[in-house]
Amino acid sequence: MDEVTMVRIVLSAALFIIPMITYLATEAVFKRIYKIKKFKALFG
Amino acid sequence: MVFEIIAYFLSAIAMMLIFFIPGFLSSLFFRRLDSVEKITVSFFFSVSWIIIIFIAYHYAGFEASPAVLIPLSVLSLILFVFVRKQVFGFRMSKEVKLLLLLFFIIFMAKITAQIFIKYYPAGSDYVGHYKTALYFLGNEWKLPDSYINPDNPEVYIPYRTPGFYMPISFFMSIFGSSFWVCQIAATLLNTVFIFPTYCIAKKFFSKKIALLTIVFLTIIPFVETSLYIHAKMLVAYFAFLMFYLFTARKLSPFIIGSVAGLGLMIHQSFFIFVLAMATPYLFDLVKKRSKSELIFALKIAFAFSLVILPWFAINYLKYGTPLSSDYAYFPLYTTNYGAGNYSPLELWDNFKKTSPLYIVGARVINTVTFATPAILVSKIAALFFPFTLDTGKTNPPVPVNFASGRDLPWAYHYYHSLPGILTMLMYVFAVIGFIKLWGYNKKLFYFVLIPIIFTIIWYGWVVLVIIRSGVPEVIPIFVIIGFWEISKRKDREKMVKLVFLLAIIELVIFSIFFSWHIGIAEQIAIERKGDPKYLVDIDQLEKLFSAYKLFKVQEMGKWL
Repeated sequence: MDEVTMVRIVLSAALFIIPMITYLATEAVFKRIYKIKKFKALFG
Repeated sequence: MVFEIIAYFLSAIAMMLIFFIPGFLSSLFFRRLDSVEKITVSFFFSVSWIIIIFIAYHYAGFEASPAVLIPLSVLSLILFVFVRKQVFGFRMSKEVKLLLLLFFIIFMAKITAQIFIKYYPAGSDYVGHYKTALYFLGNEWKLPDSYINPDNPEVYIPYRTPGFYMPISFFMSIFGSSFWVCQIAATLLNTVFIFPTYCIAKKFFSKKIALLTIVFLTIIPFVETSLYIHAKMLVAYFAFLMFYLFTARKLSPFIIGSVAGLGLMIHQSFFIFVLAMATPYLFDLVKKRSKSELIFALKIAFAFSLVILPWFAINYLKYGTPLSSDYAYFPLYTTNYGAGNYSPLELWDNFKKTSPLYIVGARVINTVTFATPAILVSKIAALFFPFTLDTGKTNPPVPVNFASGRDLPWAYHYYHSLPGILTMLMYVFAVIGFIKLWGYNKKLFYFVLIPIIFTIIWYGWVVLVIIRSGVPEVIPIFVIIGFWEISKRKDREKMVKLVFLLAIIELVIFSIFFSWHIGIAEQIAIERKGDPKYLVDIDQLEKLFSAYKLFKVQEMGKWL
């Protein structure tokens, strides 16, 4: 497999992986910061 | 002159009716929808009908003109007025009347604005859109051998999906192939997004918030996405409609899938919204393991594939790749788009040579200028402290010009940022509301967040891309969220008035800057002849004519 094909595969996969990582990372971050009382008082 | 002005407005109204009626009559057969939903869905059916009729005319080679639709539309409308209650059970409630009136006012306001606002010269997208619409007017829909047509590189077929151009050239086949017809048609297509915006706001928040959103959307500085010949707000229509139908579950999954498929046919960037809707849903699906939900999703996927398959099959057979767009390679570009000017190998080599600091830095700076009032703050600060943060003139890391405006004035950058486009007070409420939205409605939250993050990563190196050509579709949702946040306050009535007042003041300032920066942009375009980033040949603008020029060149008289 040449370099360009590899890049193509990685980019195609990235189309789907970016939304997934965005989702998982945001869930993790928000779950954590929603536990902070001050944050909850402001935004909860 | 008076005659031309009357003809101009009448043709805009005629286009609106021709676009509205066929789809509306189709939507009447779906009795589970209420009146507002019927009107909302109708534009999906209209686009479908137009594409079907257009393809049928092309391949069956009928002699009759699509203009037969005009008397047919009027006739069916008259019939409908008499039988709507008895046959279809369509209730013309106050809400429906108000919404239709608002739509009419918004559309007419834009049509009027087109006469006074000079067409924006930098960037060549609208030339491409116009020429691609002309391509569908021709009798031979022959695809070029290479997907970049050497004879006519500005025709966007095949490397963009054709759904946006077919309705435009349908109108051009009836009203004439002049540029201003294309402009009215594009404005019409870019205005219908207010209906699903209204439905989403009404479903998840309240009717009042929905109405305020629609009224607010008419007055905020949203000029480029609504007047420029641009597919983006039609994408917004399909994205919001897909999202609404998916959550409301009032129509068959096959129709929801078709809406999504047709949305992708409008512009390939639509898939970000498909993914933004599907990602949280799929994670949920895995958690719940519901069989009925899985079947529902599979049915949607089936209809979706069926709609998009012909286009991708044609591309695959002709060029050996399902999507000849270079969209997939955008992250590899480091200096310029130049659609398809580089081979993947060249791009990859360039990308490897570029420093990671530059690649990441450009995205960080663009994100900051998009999401915060950084440009305005730095500009105001520069009044008191003698500093300029002109990163464009220093060597890498960052190609973006932060405050002083190497290419375009700072005001132009500011009005393509979130605070600039939403106006400052609305921006503050929208951001606070957006953080709270995670706890209130996760689906809507990710429907906004995923496209933004995706655009930042995918081609965030391009100046202004996030709103200008990335995801302008998220703006209406931010307005909804802003009003939702205001509605929770005790002083909400005062605050709503204040938001509108400040928006109008900003709009006045904006229009002054807009006419000012158009002059500068014209200068740049003249200086930069040959730069693919800008209009290749400024003289082309003189040959074409927008509504602004229409009344100078009197071309309307020739057409009549």
